[in-house]
Amino acid sequence: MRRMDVLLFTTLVPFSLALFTGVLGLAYASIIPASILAYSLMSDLPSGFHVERTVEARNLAVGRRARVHVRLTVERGAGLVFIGDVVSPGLKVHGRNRRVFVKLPGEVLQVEYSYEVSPGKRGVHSISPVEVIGRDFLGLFGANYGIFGDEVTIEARPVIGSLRASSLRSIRAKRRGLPVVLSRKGISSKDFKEIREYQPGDPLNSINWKATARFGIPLVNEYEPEGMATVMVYADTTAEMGTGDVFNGALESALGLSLSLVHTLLKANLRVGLYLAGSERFVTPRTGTQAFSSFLRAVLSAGPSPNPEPMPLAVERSKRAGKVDLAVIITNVTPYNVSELRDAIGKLRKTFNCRVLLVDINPYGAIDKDVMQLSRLHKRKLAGKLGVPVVEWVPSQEGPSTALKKVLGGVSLAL
Amino acid sequence: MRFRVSTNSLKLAVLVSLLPLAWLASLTDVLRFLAGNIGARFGISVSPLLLGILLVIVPALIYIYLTGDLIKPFLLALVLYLLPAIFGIDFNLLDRYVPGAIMLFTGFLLALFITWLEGDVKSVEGEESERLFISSLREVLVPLPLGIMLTALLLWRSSLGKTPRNVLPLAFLLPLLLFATVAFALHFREDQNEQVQPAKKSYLILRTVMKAGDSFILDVLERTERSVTFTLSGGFPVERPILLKLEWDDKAPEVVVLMSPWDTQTLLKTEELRKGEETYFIYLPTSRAPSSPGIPSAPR
Repeated sequence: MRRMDVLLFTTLVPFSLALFTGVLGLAYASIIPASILAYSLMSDLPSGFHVERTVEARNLAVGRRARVHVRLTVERGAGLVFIGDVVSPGLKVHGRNRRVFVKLPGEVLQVEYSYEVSPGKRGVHSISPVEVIGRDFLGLFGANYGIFGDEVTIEARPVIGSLRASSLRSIRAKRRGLPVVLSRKGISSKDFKEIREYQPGDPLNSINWKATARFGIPLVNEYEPEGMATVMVYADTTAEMGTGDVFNGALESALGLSLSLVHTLLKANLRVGLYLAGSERFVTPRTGTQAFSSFLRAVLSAGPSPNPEPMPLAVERSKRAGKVDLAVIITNVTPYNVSELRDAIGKLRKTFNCRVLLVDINPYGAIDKDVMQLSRLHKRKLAGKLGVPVVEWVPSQEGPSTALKKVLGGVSLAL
Repeated sequence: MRFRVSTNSLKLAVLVSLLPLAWLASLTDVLRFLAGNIGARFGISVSPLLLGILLVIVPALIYIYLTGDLIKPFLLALVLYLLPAIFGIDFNLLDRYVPGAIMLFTGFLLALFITWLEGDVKSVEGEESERLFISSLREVLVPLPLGIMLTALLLWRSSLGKTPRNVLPLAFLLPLLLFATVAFALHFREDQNEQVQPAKKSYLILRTVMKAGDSFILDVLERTERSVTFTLSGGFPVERPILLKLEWDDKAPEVVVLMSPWDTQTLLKTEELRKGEETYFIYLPTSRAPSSPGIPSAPR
């Protein structure tokens, strides 16, 4: 029953009772609800909304906070004013983003409030436009609805584990036989890569004079470096990686590690490619730290995808990668995907004639220590059948930097 | 110390309006017999009215304290109070029975408003909720003194509802009718200054709750004359509120389908809003939409 009907009913019932019982004085009880009804009829719903919203930062690292400031003005009417926005689940709200204010008759309501948001995981998160609902105090006459501003997107970068230069050098030192692999700069090939801004130290003959004249800033041609080892990273983003919670589960760990690995290898001047199995996203092998943004974009809104793209198919689809020296598969080894992994490893060897390193993420540590230990034993047994070096990582026990060190050690040895 | 009005104190204060029922109960043979028995056995003189208060207000107090529900005790009290009027009441009691009925009915109205307002502001936590509640209730009750004044006048004219000749004085009807007419006229008046401008921009506003990626990418999958299907791809699956504002340069569809890999929602056009040169088409999941049974209309 609508509230208006209830109030009308309470106004009329005393009349009916007075007639029905013959106690005519009961009809007087109608006067009070009638006066409230009449007063409600005379006042307008809150209207004349103006909303301004500012968001402090649109690009944040996971865990950092941005302040959202909202200013609301309600010019006319009287009643309750509900204001708020819808924040995507990946953003944690600190404070309150949905508020209620009282608009009194005859005065303009001007209020300001703010709250903070912080991304709990990587991705492109959104804050919806601000919606305002104005209602009379008793909710008798429907509502005035307004929506203001546009959707705000906040791009959250994952926390990228990085190694100190000294750690990188020590890894490099272990591979003295292959100085080019981890050298700061390789010899340029004749394969054109991109036009970029001139940097001190660039040879004069690399300047693109036409482009420089057109844009008015010194630009140089960059060519793909020659002799670089190519590392292809395969990150599993299928539904099976949905184990664990939305913020620290297997998928988030896998993608965080993938990005950290890509970032470090690009810094070491290797050619790096990335394939997200399940999400069907492929970043062809490239060099230079500028290329990192392509990897970041690919990873930001990935998986877990319900698309059952098995790892062998992912390998098949990444054939365009060309020459690959090392493939790193990052997944959660289970009895259900172990045979697919075996096929994928076989296919990688056949297609690229490369070495393979497997990173096995164990997300069960967040559930229970005993479960983790049991799963570790089981996983070791399963991975033992694959015939490749395996790096175990329990995200609840080891930080991303430790995992990265272990993986880089494996990369270094494999190369 | 300054007395602070709170929701709970108001709820308890409203219970005072149950006194007429306690008075009516004290007139019954049962309570008189009980009072007499207590006096005889324990040597304590207890008035039937006190016993009535104990038997009416204390159980109501306990019930409200335990459940927080004000409506049911008041409805029950009203029904019990009206029973003598239905089965016949002593004429000499009318001058107390009628004001008592008005008091009880006013208490019921207050209980109703408290329940409504409490439900409206329950999304707000802590002291702000109390503040909103009290401010709203104060505003709602602005016309209450006027209503009480008119009622008191009518009661005075009719010797507290006892003299039928003066029960419905016609002299009061004219100002009441005038008041009602003004109220209706004010409510249904149209703003003459507001000029309708041709719409330049249209937006689709999609509101629902569904299982979709925590950070999804929206794409148009299919577009027909009556419906549009959007896909929401990517992200970690989670039951989440969705509020989307999409610029639309075509005729607004009647049906919008949102498809994520884990859920599908059918939204129907429910409202069209004009704001200056902009038009907003609101789409909500309705019970008619096959994929949305039991989905609350407002995002959480």
